[in-house]
Amino acid sequence: METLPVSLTVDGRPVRTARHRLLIHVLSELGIRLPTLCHDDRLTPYGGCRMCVVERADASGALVPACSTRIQDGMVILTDSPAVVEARQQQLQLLVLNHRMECPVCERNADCRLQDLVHEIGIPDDILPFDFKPASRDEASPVIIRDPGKCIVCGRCVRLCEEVQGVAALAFLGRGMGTHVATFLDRPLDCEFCGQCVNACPVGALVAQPYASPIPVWQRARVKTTCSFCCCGCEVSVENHQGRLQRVTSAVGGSPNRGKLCVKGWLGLDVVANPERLRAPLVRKDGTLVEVSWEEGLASAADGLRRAAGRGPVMVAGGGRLSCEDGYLLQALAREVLKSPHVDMAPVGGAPALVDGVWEVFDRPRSTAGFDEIRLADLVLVFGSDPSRGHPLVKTELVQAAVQRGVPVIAVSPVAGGLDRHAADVLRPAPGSVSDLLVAVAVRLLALDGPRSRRIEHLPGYDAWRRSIEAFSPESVARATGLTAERIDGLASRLAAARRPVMIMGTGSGVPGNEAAVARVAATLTALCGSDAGLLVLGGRSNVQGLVDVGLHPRLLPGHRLINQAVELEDLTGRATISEAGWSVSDWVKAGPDAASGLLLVGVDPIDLLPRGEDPRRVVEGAGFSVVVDAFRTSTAERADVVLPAAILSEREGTTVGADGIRRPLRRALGPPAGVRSDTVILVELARRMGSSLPTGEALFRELDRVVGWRWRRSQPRRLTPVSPPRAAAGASGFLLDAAPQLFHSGSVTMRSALLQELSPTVAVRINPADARALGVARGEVVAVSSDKGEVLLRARLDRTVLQGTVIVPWVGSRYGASTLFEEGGEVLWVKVRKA
Amino acid sequence: MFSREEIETIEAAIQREETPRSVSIAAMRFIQKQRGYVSDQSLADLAPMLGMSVSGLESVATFYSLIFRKPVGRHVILVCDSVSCWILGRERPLDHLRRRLGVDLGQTTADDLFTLLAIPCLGACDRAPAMLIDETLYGPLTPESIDEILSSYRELDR
Repeated sequence: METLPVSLTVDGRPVRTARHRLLIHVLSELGIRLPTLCHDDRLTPYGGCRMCVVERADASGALVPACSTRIQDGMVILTDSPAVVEARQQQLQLLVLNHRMECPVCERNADCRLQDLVHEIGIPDDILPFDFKPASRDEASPVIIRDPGKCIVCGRCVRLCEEVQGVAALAFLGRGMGTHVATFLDRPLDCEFCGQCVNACPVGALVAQPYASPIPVWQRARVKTTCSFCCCGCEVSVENHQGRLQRVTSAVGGSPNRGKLCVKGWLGLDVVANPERLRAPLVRKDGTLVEVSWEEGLASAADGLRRAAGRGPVMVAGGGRLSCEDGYLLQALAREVLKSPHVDMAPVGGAPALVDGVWEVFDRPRSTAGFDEIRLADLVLVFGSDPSRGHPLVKTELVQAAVQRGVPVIAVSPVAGGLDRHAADVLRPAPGSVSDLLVAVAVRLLALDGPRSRRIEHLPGYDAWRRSIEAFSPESVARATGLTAERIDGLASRLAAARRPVMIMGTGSGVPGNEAAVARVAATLTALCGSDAGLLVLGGRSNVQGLVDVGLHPRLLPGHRLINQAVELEDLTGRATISEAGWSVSDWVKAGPDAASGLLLVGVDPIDLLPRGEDPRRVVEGAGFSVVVDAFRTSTAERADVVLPAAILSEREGTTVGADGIRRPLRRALGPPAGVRSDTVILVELARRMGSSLPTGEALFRELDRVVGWRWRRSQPRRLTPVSPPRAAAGASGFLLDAAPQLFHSGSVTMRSALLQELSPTVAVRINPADARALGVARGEVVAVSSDKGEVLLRARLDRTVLQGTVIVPWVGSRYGASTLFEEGGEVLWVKVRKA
Repeated sequence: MFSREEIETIEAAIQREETPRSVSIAAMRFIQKQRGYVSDQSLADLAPMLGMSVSGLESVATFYSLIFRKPVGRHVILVCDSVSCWILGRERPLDHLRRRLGVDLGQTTADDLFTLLAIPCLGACDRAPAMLIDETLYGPLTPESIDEILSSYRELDR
């Protein structure tokens, strides 16, 4: 092993280490924990609070901040000398003097870095008289209370807001003694409400209003679990007191989010306390749903499903929020107990990209990159739905890449996105032409660097693929994408020069285009970029990858087994399954109202979720017998024969798999409320009442380990498939509809969060002010957005960040969202907009 | 709203820099030259041109003493407020200035000709006590030299 090049002496101990490191990291490895207030490993070194000063005995006893000093060979460091202790005490005293001490009534009592340091370091007896800053709490902002009287101006909030969130809503104003953290003209915050500032504040200067609780932290129970609002898989700590939610935080050392949260993960959990939650099973009697006991509810559901299965096909579908365990049990209930092949997850985006896209090229239906790959990337290409709305953690990673590390982020989208401002380049291909663009880039990449083809030419299908890309002449590509050959060349040269490029593909309800086709060409391009390149597919809900893994899919058995590999599965489980492909949710809707004799829908509301709500409504109503397992009386539950109330979010136990393919625990941090049961219990009980026994607990865990495994390995390319020739872009007709995921609302659950509703109360159409003027529409006026499939009436919100010729309508719900305007499988949607 | 010429000047400056925000100080100084000071509206209009949040731009504006966020008179008198000037007797000339102008620090004369401000060290300790009027440095100041200087500006503006 090579010897480490830098040697230094720390408190008399010789130390050897690698070059360029920050002193604080070296010291922390030696077990020396320095006091810090402004230091944050997620931020560029700052050196503001001077609490971490150490003495350089080799440099005339200079006091240097360890958090922002890089090590040098020969350094002699004293971490606890009298000079160091005195400096820290004096510095702490100055900070304390400017901090309004009201510890006993402060929301952060016993959870405060400043308080900790006063205990640890002490302040001199001859302390100067206290000189409080005037208390001028900002309580005008939604959700966040700012209390400058407690601010110690460490700047973690300001720097996170800029370097990580890319928003810069908070800033240092003034200079010297007058420096304070504020907004422009002290206006109330109008930001993304990610909570990064509140969670990073070492004192009580930034507090979440909904979480300002009189219950001290030492009386709360804290459970670390995984957020399930999207597929990022963020670690969250949920605090409760006697079952009531107190606060959601996240530790900086946690993985994968390193303490970062988003508005949904931070505040959305209040949905569990929504008074509209179902608290007892409902059974339809004489046409109306009436509350019954669990015994009766489960018996009616099991009995009805068994009889429906005897009459004909039963459609079984689960929501993207289900845990791996529940998804596995649900497919087992369908295939093993009901003997129905018709199993699918809600069509929320992601599964087609993984199964019919990535898997066509690589040997597993799984992203080949995760968050670590983004952190190591030297180029990031983003396409599909905008991560800054649907996958906020990914957005922060990309802001950090661009702002902190100068990594070029290339945004490819026909509509404006939150990353455009930080992107090194923004490409606007014609709507629906992203896959053609990616093929064109692959063609140029091969032209620039021919030997690169060696990475894929051994793969089956290479010759056919190579022939199929001949149709991508510069002219045909320009016709398809509207981009010049120079623009495509530019992107190809960047990719050619990158050593570790990462491609990020966002999916979700309302993301137009054929996601499987885009994922396939993206995977091919990834293979062409070599084994250090990666592709990260972002699913439309929390556990899309996990549900693919456990076989909640009409053409896939657990463990990525094809339907014809059922015997192999039976050997592992000891139970008979069926080896037949079934309907997807959309096959079932297309098959019409009489096709299914029974329905079992767990955490999925097809009427609100699917395009054109009236078709799913007809098939739900047409089914002979339907069971809905959900937390609320959804549009689909209203039409069911039996409704069973289920635990959601942090009320559940199990595991979930993030977009990065890593399996993480769901731990019960709250409730569930009385009268509510977990999906696991409900599914096992249903099976038991139909005379079958499904594994639970330890047995289920071991079976999943045998059947699925989730062992880490690098995906390898396995084959190539020909691409279809580029299609000339259709001309614009009306406005381009952007219905991709939204920041504040991802679906029917977030729509029921009181806090998220407060922050984003109305579903609105966002339109460029110039377009609004041309239409004669003023802010807040109602406009009609229509396609040949339907029409929605929404209030207009004028937004300069929306491109002219585009309107943004959230997907959410058939009553007011964009889903009304879509037809299943629609690729690009042009809509008409007029003043209503 | 900025005029077309103002927008073109700022955008040309942005083109010359690697990142738009590098122009923030120059752009605010330019707007100040055009309009006398940098108004709330000017900041709100300028921030998106520079790819910055308006809070972020305000942070830059309030850091620098030479960027004026409120209307000022035709000439801005910046009286040095640092150690060398204190030692060499800043109070006497400053009191004289106050009397002559009839305003205190932070105020503008009734005829809108002068605004009197204090500024941390002008870096002219060799000429202490010192002041800066617009872009011209004066010092060492005495009550007599102040009368002479003020009347020269009054002449100029007649």
